[in-house]
Amino acid sequence: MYKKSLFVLSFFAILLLINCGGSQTVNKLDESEMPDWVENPPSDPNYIFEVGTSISKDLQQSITNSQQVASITIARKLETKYQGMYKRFSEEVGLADESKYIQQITDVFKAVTSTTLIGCAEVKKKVLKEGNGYRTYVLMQYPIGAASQAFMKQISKQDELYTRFRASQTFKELDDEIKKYEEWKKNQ
Amino acid sequence: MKNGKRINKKNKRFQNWDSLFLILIVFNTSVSGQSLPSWFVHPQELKSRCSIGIVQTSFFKDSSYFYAFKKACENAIMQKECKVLVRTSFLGTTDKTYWEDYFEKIEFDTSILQDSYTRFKIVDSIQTENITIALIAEKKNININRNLINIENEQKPEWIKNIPQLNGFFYSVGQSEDYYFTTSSWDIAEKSAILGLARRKFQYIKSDYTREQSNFLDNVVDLRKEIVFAHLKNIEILSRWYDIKNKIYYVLARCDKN
Repeated sequence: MYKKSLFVLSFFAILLLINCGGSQTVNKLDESEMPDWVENPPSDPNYIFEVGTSISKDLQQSITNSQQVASITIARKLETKYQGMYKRFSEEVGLADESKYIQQITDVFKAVTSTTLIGCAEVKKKVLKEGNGYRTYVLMQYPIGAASQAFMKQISKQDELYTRFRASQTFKELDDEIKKYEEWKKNQ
Repeated sequence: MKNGKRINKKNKRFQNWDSLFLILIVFNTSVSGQSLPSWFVHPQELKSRCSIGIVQTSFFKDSSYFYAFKKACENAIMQKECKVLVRTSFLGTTDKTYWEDYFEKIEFDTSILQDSYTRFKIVDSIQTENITIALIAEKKNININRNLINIENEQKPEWIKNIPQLNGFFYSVGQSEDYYFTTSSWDIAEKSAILGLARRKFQYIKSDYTREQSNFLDNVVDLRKEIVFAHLKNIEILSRWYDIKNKIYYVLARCDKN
């Protein structure tokens, strides 16, 4: 009887130790878990496909950020203004043979995108645990050409709502930014 | 209470450790899973238009039923028609991405909320130690599947991998982390699905990307702003799934395109 009790008690003690110990394993990104569509996104003449990925400790941030990355890549394909600047700075320090020639070349690249996406859809998504955070992969599609026209026809009933939206503070802020962008565009 | 008494009587009979050990194992497995009604896990099976409210079970059990009903009424009105506004901005640098600003608003007509308390009836409800769920509809006598499903044993649904694309509807999958309160997780996943639907209708994107490269530095600054604004009608919550491996809650929703 004593032996049996000892066996049962030691079994529970081991069980407790296992449960309370906590997992020390750190999940690393396993490339085999990366979806195929990240490297081979689909292609369709009526749609633009873009992949976005992001990692964050916060799941919502990881997802929103990856969606935004994909949306911005789509937006950049539609309309982007690029500006490049190349600066060359040279300096000679010291005297005669002991002088040192310092040269710094700075290349500045600027891309401004400001556009409205209507019908931008998330078609595939995969969320994985990576370390202490979440890794999200998102595949977004945007209708172009015939698909875009069909989509606009479907949502034309939103006109009234947009009229009200135009009167709101958010729209004013948005409009100011667009105006600034338009001004900048003219000066190019 | 009856079950409790029965167990106490049985306990007295356990004279050896072996039997107690076996009972403990059996008890442990029976409470480990979370069983939820089929109408909650797969609401698309419901033939009539219904709405679901989920709340944390409070100390006063009856109050929880009332709050679940109230929440279901709010959801019914919001799902019928709502306006969504989301503003997000990120600052991306070479090393990290910072979440600068996040604002979201889902507006619906609260003036009809009082009236909805008399219009809607509870069709079914379930209460566990943690959560209380109410299913409401305008008619009380509708056919529903009352079977309980262990959500942790459910297979990964196809809609997680491939978001449905059917004519006439927008589909979206919302997700949430495993929060302390399960109700928060389901709520956030549902809201995330609704915001996803709005994103499909109208999305304004602005990005100001600058990259400065030299032989000493490589700096990237990307200021990104997104505004989502949409008027959604007839939102339906179609399915729910809990990814036990990654501890993520998923909700599939759809709404009319028109």
